[in-house]
Amino acid sequence: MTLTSPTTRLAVLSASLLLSACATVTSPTVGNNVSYGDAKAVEQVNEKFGSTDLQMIAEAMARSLAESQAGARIKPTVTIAEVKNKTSEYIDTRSITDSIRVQLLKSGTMRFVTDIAGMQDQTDELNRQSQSGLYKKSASAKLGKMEGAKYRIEGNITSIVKTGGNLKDVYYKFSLIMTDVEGGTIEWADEKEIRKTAKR
Amino acid sequence: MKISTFAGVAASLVLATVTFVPPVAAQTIASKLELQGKPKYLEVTDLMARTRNGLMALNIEISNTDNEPREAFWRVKWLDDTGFPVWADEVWKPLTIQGAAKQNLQVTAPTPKATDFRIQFTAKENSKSIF
Repeated sequence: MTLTSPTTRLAVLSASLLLSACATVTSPTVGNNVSYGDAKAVEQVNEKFGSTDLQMIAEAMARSLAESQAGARIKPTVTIAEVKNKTSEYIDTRSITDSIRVQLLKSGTMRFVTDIAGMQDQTDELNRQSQSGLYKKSASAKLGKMEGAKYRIEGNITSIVKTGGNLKDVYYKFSLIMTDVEGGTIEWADEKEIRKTAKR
Repeated sequence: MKISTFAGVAASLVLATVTFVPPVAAQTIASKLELQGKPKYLEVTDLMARTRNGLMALNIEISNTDNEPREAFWRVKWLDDTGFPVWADEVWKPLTIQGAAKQNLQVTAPTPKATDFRIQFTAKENSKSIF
């Protein structure tokens, strides 16, 4: 009996199919009740402020800011102040400014100094290193070396909501300005508009 | 005979060289697009790229061939000279174009490392494939 005979070939094929059917590859998961989605997909669950809005605003503002400083010889030091939420819904504006800061640092166009929210932790650590007497002087941070921001970024987000019949229209406007701390002059400003319409 | 053989080899080399050199006209709009489906009503009709202060800036013109407003989603993939991505995936951005209108999308690269790009574009209404 040779491998070329039809009966043998059929037997080999059947055995292969049986083996492949038995050897099912399992996914490295625990449970099957949750599915992971694309974090960059357009979220259209309802008309409320969502992940796509946050990502689009952060991207547009970071790109505009980076463009304004592109080609500069010295990367300016910047601090982010508050972005006021003037809408009627809860929006974590800190999350938006965090995303803007991440993108600008990754782009390498600006340097960020400690903002007001992080100042307590920064001074606590600085005092611990410089005044507790626990650290080697040569390898500890010294007082009076912190850098001040050349620019301060702040802004606000507003919304206009209108309902008519079975239609709800929401218009968001996110405005950001960058002020020269010493001179008090506004050196850059931009805004991002978003319109969302939902049928009830 | 030897001369004719040499001429044949030389001709083959010339042909091979011509074949492997990428054509200049390769930088078409289509070569910069990654379409997900074939848009039924929307079309990228113009595309301009320039570098300003080290950052690449794009102007993308989208045309709606229908009389009704049409929706699409788009984003840009930023690449270096070797085609390697230099930035994380952007968020998909929704787009609505009014009937029989054109809309310009302007976008700046996030980093000076970006020297090339691909526009990922998907319309809400695509032409149905016969296959």
